[in-house]
Amino acid sequence: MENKTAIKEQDMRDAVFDSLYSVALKDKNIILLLGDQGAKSFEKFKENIPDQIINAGPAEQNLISVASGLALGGKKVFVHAIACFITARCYEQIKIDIGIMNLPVSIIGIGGGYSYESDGPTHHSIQDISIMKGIPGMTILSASDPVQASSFVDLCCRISGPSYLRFDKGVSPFLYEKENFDAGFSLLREGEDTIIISSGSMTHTALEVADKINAGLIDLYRIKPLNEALLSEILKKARIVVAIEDHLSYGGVGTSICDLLCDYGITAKFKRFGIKDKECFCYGDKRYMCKEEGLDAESIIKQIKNII
Amino acid sequence: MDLKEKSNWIRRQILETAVLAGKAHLGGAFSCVEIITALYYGKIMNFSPENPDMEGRDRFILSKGHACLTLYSVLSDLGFFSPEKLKNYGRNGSILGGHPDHRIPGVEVSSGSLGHGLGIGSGLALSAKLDKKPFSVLVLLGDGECCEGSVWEAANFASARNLDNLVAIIDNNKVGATCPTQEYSGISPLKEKWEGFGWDTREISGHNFNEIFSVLSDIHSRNSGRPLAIVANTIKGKGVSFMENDFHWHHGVPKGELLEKARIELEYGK
Repeated sequence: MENKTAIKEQDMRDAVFDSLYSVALKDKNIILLLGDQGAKSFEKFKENIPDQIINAGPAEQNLISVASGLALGGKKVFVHAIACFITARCYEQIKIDIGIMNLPVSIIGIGGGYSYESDGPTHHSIQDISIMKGIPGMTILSASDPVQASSFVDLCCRISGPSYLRFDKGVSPFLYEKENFDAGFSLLREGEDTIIISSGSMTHTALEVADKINAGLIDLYRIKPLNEALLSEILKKARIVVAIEDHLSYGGVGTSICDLLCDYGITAKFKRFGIKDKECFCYGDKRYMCKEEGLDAESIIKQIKNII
Repeated sequence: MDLKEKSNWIRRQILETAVLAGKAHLGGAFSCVEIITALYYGKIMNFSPENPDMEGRDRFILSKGHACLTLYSVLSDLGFFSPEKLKNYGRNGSILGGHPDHRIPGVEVSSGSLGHGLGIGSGLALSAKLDKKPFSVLVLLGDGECCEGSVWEAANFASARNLDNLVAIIDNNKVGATCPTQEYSGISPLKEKWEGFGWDTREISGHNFNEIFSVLSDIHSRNSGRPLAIVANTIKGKGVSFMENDFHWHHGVPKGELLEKARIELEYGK
């Protein structure tokens, strides 16, 4: 029993970039543009395919514009920096240079939500999903474990327009074995009365919650476009729908699900858990910060029980 | 038609298109007429109106997208699209808006938001280097546009990557939308700024064809390892006396007597 549940874990960044490296080895048109970021796998790029890794420094606006130019020149470009900087800092460039021109550039943002922990609010990324949703044609992926993080590289290569991949800094336990992630979400727990929808690393918290209250659980790894048809089929059977995310409680996953419920005339009770509408000057590790924000399993269970 | 006459003809096209639409950015369109005329009619760039996406074409990016009427006039005259389309500029169902978009035949990049073109041009130039393709990338910026910080991020990058297949031409007309650019840029030694960023630099009159050719005729054989910045000193509203150096004609379109005066100065019927 213990062996079976032994926690396997991997650094999310290694999962993404090891995967990208193996794809890039076979395709010289794949370029990785960095905003002065480091990772173990970058050394392999530098050693074996040095033309395919470019550190353009902490100049996010230019990173996106250069990515656009490279894409116009026929390249498939991955741009990587800290999530908050490679989304909000260069939003205008994303909107025009890759959005309006619909170019195959994948933005790889490390550190969604509070995962930069005590680095503080300048480094937290709590509105990235909201603003990336504002780009027509943008695909938004949020990885909840290393298997997804690794698989999303291939998914990004198959998207003809712009995409944004968000993942947590640091190591993450595995949720998946090998799996196909084309559907946009995974049903991790069957459930009828209450269905929880979560994304990214919050899916680990949501799993704790779902197991405690015997709820269904959907890991929503493709936030845009939503697989509306399939999601609505599942959600219309629920009495209570709960969204959990490490993002502002408005503009992100909760809002997308709320929209879906309205659009499909699903009258389930709806409760969202996310970051409140105020600046956060709370320092500590992610677990501590989430607890302060009411995003720990215990607080969430308590509130859901109130509705039930 | 020699290039000087061609430039006058293009200014007339720009003016009449603006008059039909009732809106335009004339001042900044007029200041870059000789530069764009030289690029397209002076055998500086490789391109094919019949095949706008021709492999190996040189890439021209109009980063100061508000000067689109100059580019539209040239592209339609060369046959990238029908000159009839100019008459519909900005109207319902037109393919031509007030800023260029990448779907227009001959337009490489959607522009209009300032400070994007040089970064995109750097990426394109880098792709050419990586693939050992011989094309050059030419980016036309405004001097007002050089207030955008992203221009200098790109200037850094292009220099660091030794993109000697990249040329930035600064249409230095010294007038913005509401005032002389000096009021917000201070005394701005543009040439020295680009030099400081590690670029080869030249300063010319942007209305003098001999000077334009003297700095652009060898772009395909450049191998200095440094990108090239050309500060082209120009006059906003060039060609129509009452528009010259007057920011009111950044957006304005003349009517009545002023329109007639402009038409006379642009030598209609010649």
